[in-house]
Amino acid sequence: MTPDTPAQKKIFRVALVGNPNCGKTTLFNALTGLRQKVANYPGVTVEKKTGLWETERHFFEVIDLPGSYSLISRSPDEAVVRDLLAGYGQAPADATICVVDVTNLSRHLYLVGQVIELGRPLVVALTMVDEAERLGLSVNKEKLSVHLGVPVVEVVAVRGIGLKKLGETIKRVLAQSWAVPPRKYQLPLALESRLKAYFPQADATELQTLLCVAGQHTPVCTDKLEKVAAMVRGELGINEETVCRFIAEARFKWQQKVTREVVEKNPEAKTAWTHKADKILLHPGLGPFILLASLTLVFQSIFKWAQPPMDAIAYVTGDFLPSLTKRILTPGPLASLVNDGIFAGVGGVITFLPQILLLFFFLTLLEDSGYMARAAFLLDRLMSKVGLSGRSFIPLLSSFACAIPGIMATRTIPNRRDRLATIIVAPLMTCSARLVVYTLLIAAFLPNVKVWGPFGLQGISLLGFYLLGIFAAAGVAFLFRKTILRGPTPPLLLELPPYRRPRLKNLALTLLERAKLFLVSAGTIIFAVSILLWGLSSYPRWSKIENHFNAERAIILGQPESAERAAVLEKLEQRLYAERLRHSFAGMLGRVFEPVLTPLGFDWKIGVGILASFAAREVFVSTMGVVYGVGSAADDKSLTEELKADINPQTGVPVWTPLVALTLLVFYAFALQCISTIATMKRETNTWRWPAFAFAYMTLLAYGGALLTRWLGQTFF
Amino acid sequence: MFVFLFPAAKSETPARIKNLAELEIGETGRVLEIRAGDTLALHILEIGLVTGAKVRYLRSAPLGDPIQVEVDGFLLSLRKNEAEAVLVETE
Repeated sequence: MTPDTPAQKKIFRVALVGNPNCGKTTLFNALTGLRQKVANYPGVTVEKKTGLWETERHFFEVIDLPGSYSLISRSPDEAVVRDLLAGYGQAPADATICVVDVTNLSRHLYLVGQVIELGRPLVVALTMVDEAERLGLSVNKEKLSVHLGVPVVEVVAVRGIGLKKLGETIKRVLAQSWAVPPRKYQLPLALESRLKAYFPQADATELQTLLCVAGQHTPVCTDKLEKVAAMVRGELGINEETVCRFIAEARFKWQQKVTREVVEKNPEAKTAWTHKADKILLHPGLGPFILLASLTLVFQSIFKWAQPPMDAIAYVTGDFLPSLTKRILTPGPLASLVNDGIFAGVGGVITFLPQILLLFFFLTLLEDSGYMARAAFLLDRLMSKVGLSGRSFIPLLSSFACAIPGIMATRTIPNRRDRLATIIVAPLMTCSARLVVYTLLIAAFLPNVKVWGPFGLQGISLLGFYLLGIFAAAGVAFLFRKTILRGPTPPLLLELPPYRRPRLKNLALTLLERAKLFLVSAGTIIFAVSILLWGLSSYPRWSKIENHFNAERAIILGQPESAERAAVLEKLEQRLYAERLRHSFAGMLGRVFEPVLTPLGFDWKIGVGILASFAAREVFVSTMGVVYGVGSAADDKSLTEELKADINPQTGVPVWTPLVALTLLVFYAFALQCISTIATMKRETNTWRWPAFAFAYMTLLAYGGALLTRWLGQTFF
Repeated sequence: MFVFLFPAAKSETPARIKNLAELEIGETGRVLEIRAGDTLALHILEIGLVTGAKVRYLRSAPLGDPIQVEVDGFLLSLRKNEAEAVLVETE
């Protein structure tokens, strides 16, 4: 018998839900493997991960929902879970797999209890069964299934055990008819009796009425039902939150009872290994030291290990491909567009792929091992001093590589103000694109002298700019949490998962997904911006300039061919580039902005670099290459020399003094020069207001900071 | 009429009853009640700090806050502010 082709099978949508750290992602990866894709839920900013799960006889689209403790929504993540499972504003998932960590059965049954009440096809998947076995803990799953009224399947995702049975069970529950089951827990008597008395008047089930009394304003709540609910609350003299609390307390009583009946043995020593590790990793003295040491190691390796692949990519996009196109295409606008626009622009950005992948490698490693939550624990006090919480630590740490993943990582922050504050200060952290600019300017203009031991002035300056970013972010966060984002400090209730060995498959899939997302953005936004920038800096072409250079070129070409002639010719082309740029739209723009830049000691050439950097900071280096006529793919050394030799024609002094470089560095430390970050902010906050605000305050900060630096430099040195 | 269903908080607490933040390192107890506003109480409940749960104070973070506790075999971190709302009967 030949297996059915996908087209012939009906595809069922299966939602995967569970508490954080329940093994949901591992199950998702085991079911779908490489057939995953990431998109956003319509209208909200939560990432939607889906994958195809094909078995011999079934074909499912699995939707990996964000980990959540409850269907009572507090964060956008939790609202997404509720809406998809219940079918609010969309078709509900055909079936749900509720993932339950068997070593945490009682607690994880809270979410299960809520999902059961939706009355939709449901299977409970017990994970961590192998871990439970090792601990001598066993669960009577038949008994559990009877208590819950839904099938229960044990799975060991990494070894593929139970997956086939899971598929068959889903098929079975899809064929059954489902209805909302009776409530399983007892509420305070006064509330029970009111509910019984009133729900028939509301044309709703008792459960729907209860949820409405508890203030869960779902589409099921009709006006009539809301009125009845308000009446119930009014008679009892209680508010919605109190009802929620009664329900939660009642549910937990039921969960504890069920757990007592189905768990054979509950060993005390199940977290022994984690306890031992915590003793060291959370030690008052050792803990912070280990944290600092591991972060240092992470950053050191990002810069060291990423270098060879970055150089390789730079070689391919900067030398190899352009030389290839030069052979295929005749010199002219098209070749220029491809080489100076597309390869230089997109290539310059793709160069960062190794760094981003390494960062995500470490972040995933820290996250999956359970250490990330510990870092938040260690740093919460420090973060709360500036009005943030330990949860903001991960997003801000990620922003050292790139603000985009950092801003995306804020989704796990449940409090809206906390999340916004984190999003708008994240771009102040020194991202890897800033590093490129820092390295160029520091190496060129600060003397390479030893300061103390192995530490030189250049290295210390680099560290100084990292610290500047951190302190600025702290100050700005503090200021905003006291003013526009004022509000009570939200509680920190953070689960510290047991330490676990990271799974290679999870790591690999995460990296693949990140690479894909990054390359898609580089392939679209940055591609478009690169072409735009190329156009602005290459046009208009003035016939006077072109004729002048053509005449000069003809003279040189008239001489006999030699190495000397080639060198002169190359110099000519570089000068032509610079002249073209000077009179291009970009050059004109740079000169329009010159009055604003003069107080900072910048000329129009730097202005062009800054303007181009608003697409992406790292463009500064290649733009300077173009402006100074050394070619965009030139090595840093020749560019450095050109910069140092540049003399201001009006004043006769060098354009580039150490103070100018320092001022520019401060400007780059604060300015929000990254279109991709702005786009991500818009997507994550669902409005242009916050990115516009961040852009405004950071530009102001950058200009003010630069002005102050120049003033201080001129006054005191 | 509903008042006596929800007894008011007792003014004095016996020595064996402490709040979670007051426990010594390694001290264990059982959660008696959550004395907090409903929103915070619900939050605390939903993560698993419920009446009857067995708790053990493990440590505080290097800067004194937050604290780490073991609750029914899992590990939880919360600030002292919130821990003060959790009344515990020590063993």
